[in-house]
Amino acid sequence: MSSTQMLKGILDGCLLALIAEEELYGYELATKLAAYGFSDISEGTIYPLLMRMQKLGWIEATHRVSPSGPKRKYYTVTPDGRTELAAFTTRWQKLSASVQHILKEES
Amino acid sequence: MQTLSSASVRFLADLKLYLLASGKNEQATQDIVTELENHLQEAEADGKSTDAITGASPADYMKSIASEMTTDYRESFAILLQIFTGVFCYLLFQDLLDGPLAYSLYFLIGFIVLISLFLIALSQLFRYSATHADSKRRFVWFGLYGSLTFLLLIGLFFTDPLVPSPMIHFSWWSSWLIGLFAFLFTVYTAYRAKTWILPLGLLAYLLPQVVIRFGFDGSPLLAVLVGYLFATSTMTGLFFYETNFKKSQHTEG
Repeated sequence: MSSTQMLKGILDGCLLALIAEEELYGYELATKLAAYGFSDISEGTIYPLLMRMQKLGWIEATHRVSPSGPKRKYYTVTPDGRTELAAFTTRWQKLSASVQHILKEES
Repeated sequence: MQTLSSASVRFLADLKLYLLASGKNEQATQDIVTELENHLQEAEADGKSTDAITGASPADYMKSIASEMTTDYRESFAILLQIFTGVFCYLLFQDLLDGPLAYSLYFLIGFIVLISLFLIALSQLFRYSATHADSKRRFVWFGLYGSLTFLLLIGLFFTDPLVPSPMIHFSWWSSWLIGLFAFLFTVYTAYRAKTWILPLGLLAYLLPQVVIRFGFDGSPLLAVLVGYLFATSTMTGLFFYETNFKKSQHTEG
């Protein structure tokens, strides 16, 4: 299984965590993801996910003129998004601990 | 602001076409296209290619965007109504020049069915065209569908007197009233869509015919031909004018 396939299910949570830290627009989000090591996924992948998270009410978008010129869409996390982030964090910690446990036993 | 590469410009145009042909809301479509345009501009300034954003398959990427957007049936219906009225207006005014309106049920139903089938096929073709940008086959499909609809419409006109079906007759007054409403509706939809191609094309089609037929006592066939030439050149000219005008406004903005 490629790391892209493994990532698909957890990208939502990662995006939520990044937006929860500070208000971000699409390109900033993509570069931040790449900086954290998610360079395998194509940058555009984030947009369908952002659209879905907006529909679910986890994030909100505001259009604002950026310091460098063009109008941009900035994303912020809503209270529902924070609840989802907390749930994701718990799910991930459990999953990660289980995987770590198996890998340690095997090695 | 940095200019986008031709690959990115084409991708954005294809995405817009695909989403609109899939019945997505125009404002929501413009939002995501603008957002991706801004992204591509920054990405290209950082030396990245269009593929780095869309992945290996732009077609799959377009589908993934479309799947997250709701289909706007109200807007799709408004567009359909606009096209129907637009096409029907030409027919209606042409008939008004010959006298009070009268249509058979066979013709009215046949017309609605044919135009509906054509529009459904056209929407599928636009989606195919947007996701197969390099395929030459898409031009063949457009040509085939266009010719087939045209032939079927001609068939409808010719078979109309042969097929027994109830006739709906309108008086002079009601005919002109229908004409007036149809024209006002065309002007209203043109105002809303911010494009004057249809009402101006309609005037360019009809006015020369009125002058030739009633001013110079010319034959109806000659009048139709001259009207057709006027309408085609007016609409082509307006199309290029509006496209360039919008493009220059976009570049300035």
